[in-house]
Amino acid sequence: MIKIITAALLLVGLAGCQNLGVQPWQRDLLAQPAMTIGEADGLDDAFDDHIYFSKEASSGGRGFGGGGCGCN
Amino acid sequence: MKKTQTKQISAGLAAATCALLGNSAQAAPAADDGWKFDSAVLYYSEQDRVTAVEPVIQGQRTFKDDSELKLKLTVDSLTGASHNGAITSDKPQTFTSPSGNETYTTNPGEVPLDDSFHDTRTAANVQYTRPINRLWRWTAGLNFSNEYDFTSLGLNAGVMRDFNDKNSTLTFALSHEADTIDPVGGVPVGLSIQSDQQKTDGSEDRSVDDVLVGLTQVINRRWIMQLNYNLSVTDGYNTDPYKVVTVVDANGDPLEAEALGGTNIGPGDGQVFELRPDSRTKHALYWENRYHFSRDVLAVGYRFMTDDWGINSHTLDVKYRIPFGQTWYVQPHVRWYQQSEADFYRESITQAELATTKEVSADYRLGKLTDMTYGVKLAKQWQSGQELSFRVESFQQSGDSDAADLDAVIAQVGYTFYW
Repeated sequence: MIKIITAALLLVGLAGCQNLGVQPWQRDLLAQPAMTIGEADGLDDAFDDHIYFSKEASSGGRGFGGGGCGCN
Repeated sequence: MKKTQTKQISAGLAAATCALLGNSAQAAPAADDGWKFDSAVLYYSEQDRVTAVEPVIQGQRTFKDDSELKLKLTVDSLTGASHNGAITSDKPQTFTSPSGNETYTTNPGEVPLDDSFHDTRTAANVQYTRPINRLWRWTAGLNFSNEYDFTSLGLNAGVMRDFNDKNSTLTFALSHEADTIDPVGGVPVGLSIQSDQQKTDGSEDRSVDDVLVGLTQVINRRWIMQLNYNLSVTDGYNTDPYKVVTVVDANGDPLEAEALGGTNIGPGDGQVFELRPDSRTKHALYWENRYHFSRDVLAVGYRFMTDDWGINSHTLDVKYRIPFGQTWYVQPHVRWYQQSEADFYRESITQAELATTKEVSADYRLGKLTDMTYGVKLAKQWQSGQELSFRVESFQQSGDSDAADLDAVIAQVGYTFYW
């Protein structure tokens, strides 16, 4: 049941998203590297994820939050 | 009338959902303009504790068929001291080193640190992404990481689907990771007295399985968002083999191992090895926004995480990029983090609690924490795509225990170039 509701919400969400967005010729600002999620800050995100993964009890979200280090 | 209302409600709901959801249709990199290399060295130094130096190089190429290959190599060199889990006491405490061959004593009032901490980690990542058709892409990757007591091998695969003239992108990805933990001196028996050195030979295993569902959404010409849900299930050895929990008397002073029926190695040696649950399920929701003000760019990321260890956390990350002098930018960064403690976290335990407890850890990283990071990045860019950057940040942790009070400096030099 939860799966069906989630799927329905996602579909409704996607349908709603049709009203959002831009035309291809309006992508001048979005095309800049600073606007590219996951790439804008180069290696900083991966460094930060590793530092905070080893100093806090949380990980993941931005990408996969697996282990990948012993981190004593 | 009723029908119209329903329509309005569903339109409203859809808009609200979109407002919650993230971005998409990212700028496609120029095809086949050679290899792009991102290189950087990170210097991370905690006051009185760990220092790390971490060089990284990443090569990335987009081919004529729009497929993309990313290769990354990381070396992480760590030295210094790490909190061993024991309480900060006004009495001396005695511990055994990880190998079990030596003992060390912490003076009254000092945070107990194990200074035999040194390690070199090497990690390699490969990720390949390829279009299936105009709307679909698939991606697959391999991760490998190795340090002297830990090896990790990971695989991931996912698909991406563009919608609404590439203004929306849905991502679905899976990852599996297999970890092997081979502690120096053997695997300690959880909750046993440290001075007795009850350890088993061989290694322990852990698997980490992740699911990631994400939506990237262009809101308008200036605004792009991403919303991710990440489920992560860890199964196996989650314990830190080098951490102990202090067994205390009614006054909160460390007991002697002899009083617990253990081996005497010195004063305040009533310390037991920690033990954590052998599974953990985490749910993380991540929401990132990027807004372009024509010159400046604001990036705001928020993450909520909750797990079945009883930990809830909130992370807020804000960056503001200000270009100046045609080719430079400066980017202040603020990060705030807060977590609640794990159900089995105790700063210390009594002998009576030890008799009935199943799991306990005094690792401050599982206790209540509030962290702040302030920093700034300065970068110079060239027409050729080269970029030279410097980042300096101050990271401060605080929590209920003295061990949680930590100050660190993060410094990074980066250089991006094309080949």
